[in-house]
Amino acid sequence: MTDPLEQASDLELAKLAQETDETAFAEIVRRYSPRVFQIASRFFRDRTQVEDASQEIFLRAYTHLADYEGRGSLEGWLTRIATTTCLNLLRNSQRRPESDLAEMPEAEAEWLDHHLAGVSAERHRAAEKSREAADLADRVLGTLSPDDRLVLMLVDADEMSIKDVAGATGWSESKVKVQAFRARRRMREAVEKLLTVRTRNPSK
Amino acid sequence: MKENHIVNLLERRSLGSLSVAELEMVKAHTAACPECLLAYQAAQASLLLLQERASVIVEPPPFFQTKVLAAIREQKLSSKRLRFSRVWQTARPLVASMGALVVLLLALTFFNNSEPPTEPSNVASVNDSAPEWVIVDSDDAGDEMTYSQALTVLYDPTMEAGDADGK
Repeated sequence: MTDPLEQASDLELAKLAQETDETAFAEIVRRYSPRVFQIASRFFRDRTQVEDASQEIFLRAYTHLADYEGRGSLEGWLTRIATTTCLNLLRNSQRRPESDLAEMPEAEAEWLDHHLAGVSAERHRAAEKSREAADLADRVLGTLSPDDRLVLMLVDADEMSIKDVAGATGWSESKVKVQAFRARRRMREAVEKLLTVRTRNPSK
Repeated sequence: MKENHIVNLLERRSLGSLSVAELEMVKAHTAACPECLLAYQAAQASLLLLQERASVIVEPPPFFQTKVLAAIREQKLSSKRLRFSRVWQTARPLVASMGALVVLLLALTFFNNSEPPTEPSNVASVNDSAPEWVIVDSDDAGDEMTYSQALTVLYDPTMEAGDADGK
């Protein structure tokens, strides 16, 4: 026998949860935890951090459930809460100092060397290289501001539209465009520095 | 050549969103411009890094729902505690002043009861000073006795005995 809550619409679930029905909110958590974890994974790499951030997102959603009037989708509403919560958590956490970039582990340096040598994207994406690339990406993104990081992950990596990013962040569309423009420049400059170092000292 | 640098284009748009014609134009320019070649390589590497980073997704653990519900209950409890402590913070001066008032009233009551009852001044001065009162024998109005004489008559055992013998 199927649970009637599983058949309920998002709006019905939200209304039931507003009436302090815990099982209805549990169903919301079940439905949207993959989406929330996906967003939190964009900001944090460590499993514990992702889990803590996701829990914080659902706690905020529960506290502000009365604000959801069913005008937009519940997923969109949760995406906005997830994005702003993660952004705030990231702002509060310590930023990595830029000098970290200079001390690059061998595996990450190798990834850059492959890139400079013009190794194809397919080979770059090979499973064993993915981890190094993700580590290097984290190091580079760690030198940028949380706002830059957010906009790069959403616009360039996830290919979300400017309108959707504006909806998720609460920023204006022009702010998203300007932020993306500046973030791309900063990221490109950071990677340029690494590439220059690798070109000059390939053995290091 | 300088006005055709592609750096601005690389910053304005994501590399992945460029059309084939735009990419051809970029490649043609970078072939002759080492400065832009480095920028292009960096933009390519940036996009690859971002895509690799985006492919890392943490899956929700099996008991995540239970953890969230437990956290919600904990939050409710702590908000109740917080509300009580706020009420207590507001009411504390009032409760303290009421307590002080009760203590004061109790102290006043206690000290009032422990003091000896005050007697009329004429009774208190019986033994201290000579009374001015005069006991008048109704049978013999002319034979007056002072108060101390009357006491002697009343409490002197020899006189009592004499009286008893006389009877």
